[in-house]
Amino acid sequence: MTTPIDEERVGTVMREMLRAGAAHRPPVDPSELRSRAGRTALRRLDRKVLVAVAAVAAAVVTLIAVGPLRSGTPPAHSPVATQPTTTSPATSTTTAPTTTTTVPPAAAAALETYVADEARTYSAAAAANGVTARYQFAPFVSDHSAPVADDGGTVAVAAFSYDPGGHPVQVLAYRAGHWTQLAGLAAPTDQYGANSDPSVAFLTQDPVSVADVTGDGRPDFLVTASAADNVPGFVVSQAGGAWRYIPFLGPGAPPHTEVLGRSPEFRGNSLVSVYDNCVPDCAAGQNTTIVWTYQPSTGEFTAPDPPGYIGSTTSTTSATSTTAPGP
Amino acid sequence: MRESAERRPSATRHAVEDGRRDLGAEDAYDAFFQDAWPRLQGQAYVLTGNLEQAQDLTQEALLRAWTHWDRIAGYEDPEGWTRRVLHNLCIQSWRRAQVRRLDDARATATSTVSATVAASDDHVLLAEAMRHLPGDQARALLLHDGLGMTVAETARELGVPEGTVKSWLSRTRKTVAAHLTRSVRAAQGGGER
Repeated sequence: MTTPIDEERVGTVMREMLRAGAAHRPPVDPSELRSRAGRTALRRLDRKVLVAVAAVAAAVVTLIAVGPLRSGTPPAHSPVATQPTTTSPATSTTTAPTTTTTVPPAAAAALETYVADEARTYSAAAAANGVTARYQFAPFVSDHSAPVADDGGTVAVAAFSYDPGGHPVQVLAYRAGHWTQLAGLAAPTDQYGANSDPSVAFLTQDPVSVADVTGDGRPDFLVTASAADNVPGFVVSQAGGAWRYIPFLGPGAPPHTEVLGRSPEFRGNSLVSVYDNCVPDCAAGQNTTIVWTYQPSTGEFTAPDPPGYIGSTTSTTSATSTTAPGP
Repeated sequence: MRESAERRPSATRHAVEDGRRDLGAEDAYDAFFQDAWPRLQGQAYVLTGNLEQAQDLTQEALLRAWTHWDRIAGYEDPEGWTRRVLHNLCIQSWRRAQVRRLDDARATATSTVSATVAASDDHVLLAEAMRHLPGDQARALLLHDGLGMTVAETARELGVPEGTVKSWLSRTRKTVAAHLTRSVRAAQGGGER
């Protein structure tokens, strides 16, 4: 048992440590740190130019891609971002969604190394903790995007089947020849409200896609997982200020769902998924492509209900169709 | 509320405001750096128990602050942003150390905390105990008991209800105190920790 004196001692030792840590002078000058970060006034000016270019590019892409998609004939390929494989360094360079900043040539190979090291560590932890046996994932999967330019720097997203620390999705930044973690995200919440560990255990081995689907001029990332009859996915984005999963609200996506069912994908700078109107046990359903739109005011993706949609009315932007009550 | 000499966010704010008015962004950042460094490094030391690691992590947090300076300079408390980044970096370093130990058959009860440079036993023990707490709970204890924040301020910084903070504080103090007491008794009894 502890006594109040013991607990008081916690604060005393802690404040003593704060003083001891504060007593040591910084080993670098702030100017040295600044130059290390490679940030200059010129680069800030560049960024404004890039943002302007991004806005024009986004408008053009919207005109080209979204219009045809609404009529049910989406373009067959992304006009902006090229996607690499997860394993080949040769394919790990890409064009940032809306900027022309160059990704350092060494970033791709360094990312492969970083992800492989992390995967090795986490895979061993999964085996040691009995997770591998419980979920029977073999091989242990690690996916990542290509390195992409963002805000004058280079970022990427990596996802792992399991992280003993509970953050299987990592947002990474490339600085001074090394990849470091900008943010670690817990597993996304699916339609059942689960945020269980490890709910991204069943990652596909597809690369993480990159595009600007939120329209903020910054890259967004789509990570895909495996389900029984389709490939669900979740979007990692910094839209709104912090790296997070963007929730969905619309057909087949009840409030706060962060995992979107039925094969979401980036087409150009649009996020699309498939709605299957097959009520359970029908012979064959009709598939409709749904285009999801990011709503900056609510910070989520919404989509209009597709024609003939039967289900709970969750969409807030159902402008194109009326919804029928559930059976 | 207990006053703490470690906590002087207003000085940072003034430096930043002055910077926005009179100095360039670089000068404002430099002033922020000089002002915030001791406090941030002290917190990193509490969370890692290792001065070298604390220096590295503090540098990394302040480097990130410069990377986002055009945004965070406009915040009411840029040090709060940097502090959050620093705490996350410290907690990530715990996780990595923990994973390495799991991954390594040579894992022993000795943590990296024991590699502390010129630290007292109390410091080593406290940092070790902090590492065994869940990240947010360790931050709550540091913010409240170390930096002297109120429960309301701590709750706001962590984004949790005040009741949760109170509960965490009560529990974590007991846990950490028990760790310190147990270790001291073991040492007095001549046993190993």
